[in-house]
Amino acid sequence: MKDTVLLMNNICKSFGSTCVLRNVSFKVNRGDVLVILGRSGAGKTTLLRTINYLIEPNSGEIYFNDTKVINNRQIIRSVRSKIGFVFQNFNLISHLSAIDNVALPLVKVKNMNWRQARKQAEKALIDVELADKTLNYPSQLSGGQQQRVGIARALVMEPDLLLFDEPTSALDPSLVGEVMNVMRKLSLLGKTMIVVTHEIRFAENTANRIIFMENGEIIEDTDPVSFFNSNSVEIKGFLNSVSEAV
Amino acid sequence: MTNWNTSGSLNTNPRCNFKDWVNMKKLLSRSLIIIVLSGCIAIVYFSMSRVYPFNWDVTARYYRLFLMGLEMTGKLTAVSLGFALLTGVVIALLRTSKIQVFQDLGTIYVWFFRNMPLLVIILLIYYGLGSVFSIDRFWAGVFSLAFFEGAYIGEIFRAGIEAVPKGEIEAGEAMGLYSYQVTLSIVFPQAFRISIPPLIGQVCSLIKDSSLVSVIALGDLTMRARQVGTQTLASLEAYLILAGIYLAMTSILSYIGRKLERRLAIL
Repeated sequence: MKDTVLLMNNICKSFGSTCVLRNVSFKVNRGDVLVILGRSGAGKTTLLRTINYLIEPNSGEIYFNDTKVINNRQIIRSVRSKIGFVFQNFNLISHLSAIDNVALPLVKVKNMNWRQARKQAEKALIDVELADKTLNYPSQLSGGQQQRVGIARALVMEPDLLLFDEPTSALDPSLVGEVMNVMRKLSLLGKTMIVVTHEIRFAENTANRIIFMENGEIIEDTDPVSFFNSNSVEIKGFLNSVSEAV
Repeated sequence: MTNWNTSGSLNTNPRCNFKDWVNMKKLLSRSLIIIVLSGCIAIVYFSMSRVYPFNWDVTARYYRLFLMGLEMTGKLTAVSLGFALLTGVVIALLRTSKIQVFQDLGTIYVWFFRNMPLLVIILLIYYGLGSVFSIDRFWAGVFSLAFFEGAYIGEIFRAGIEAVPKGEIEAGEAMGLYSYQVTLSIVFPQAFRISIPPLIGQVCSLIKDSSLVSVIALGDLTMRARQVGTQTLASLEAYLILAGIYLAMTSILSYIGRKLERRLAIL
């Protein structure tokens, strides 16, 4: 039996008069590795951000671990503490060292003391193969290393769901591999992940589900094999444009 | 800061040679300026002393007055700096608040105190308010300075707060931090670091502006120098000493500021 981690029901969001999400509904089960594909401006990032309420949807319901997510301080805090978010631009706190960046949520949300939190943070950094960089500041790390710190920061809270917002888009091509390897490892460990990415190969190899979006709507929600063999005009067009780019 | 190669070995790294060359140029230019400048000052001084009999001895005898003035200026600056920083934090919080009324209050405060001459503020508070409530000279001076500089410091802090990358604030929110936690552990530490250089400049201004309190007969450096000048009839000497003391104080402060900035720099 599969249990549901996340249920999005009829989510709509518009900024001013532009409608970014139209009646988006989908479900994520424990252990799913869901990749969201689509062109720029299709609403992928907005969708990801509504999940942990960084963006408040105009209508629709979000259920996370069977709790309805509403605009309430306590509920949002507890939901966010169980959802790890990895940003495109890493967004590490620049005046904190790598280890303190990872320890910060433990201290501030789980009320741990710094000593305990750093111990746990160190383990998380070892998991992303940054054991030797714990005391470095973000500006002393490469993009790939910064992103791995970002992943460690998300992991340290032992989240039920990990969200990746184009985690490799801001990286040098040569640094994409190290981040992708960490993500692949996480998927093998059975973590539940939603990944917005342009890395088609990750979708092909690692995902067990693909959602394809266009103009704020989900066009296709299927497994990778049938996605890449789809006859749909939109998907074919998208895949062609991506393969041309590569 | 000079990077002389003290090891004695021949340094063949071209970048280090370049650095040495840059340092050499710095040293040369500075010694040149010092020599020329002291020459100019000496010429001016000696040509002036033909018509004006400089009398340093008599001013030196009044050094106690200068010390008293220095103490008052120091105390005044320190206490008003404390209040000004407090005012600055409050103003910056008001100005960056999401609540419109708070924003407007902050804006009005800054508008008023930045558009009012400090001298007028001092007169208003001491003679104006002083005719209604009894206000001690010292506290009138402190609050005038604190209100005035608080407006500028508030703007410095506001700029610092707004310079913190939005993504880091968002990261804090995504972790589940409450907004006050985001402010305290992400925004403030960085805003403070960003604010240090302009803040040091503002503290220098505070020291200089404090000379205006001499109008309410608060015995600060400027007033004491004037006293020495009138009592000894050696005004130029007294004011030259005064200028030297202010310059020394602000220079020391700038030096400390640069050190602090370097120590707290986000690498």
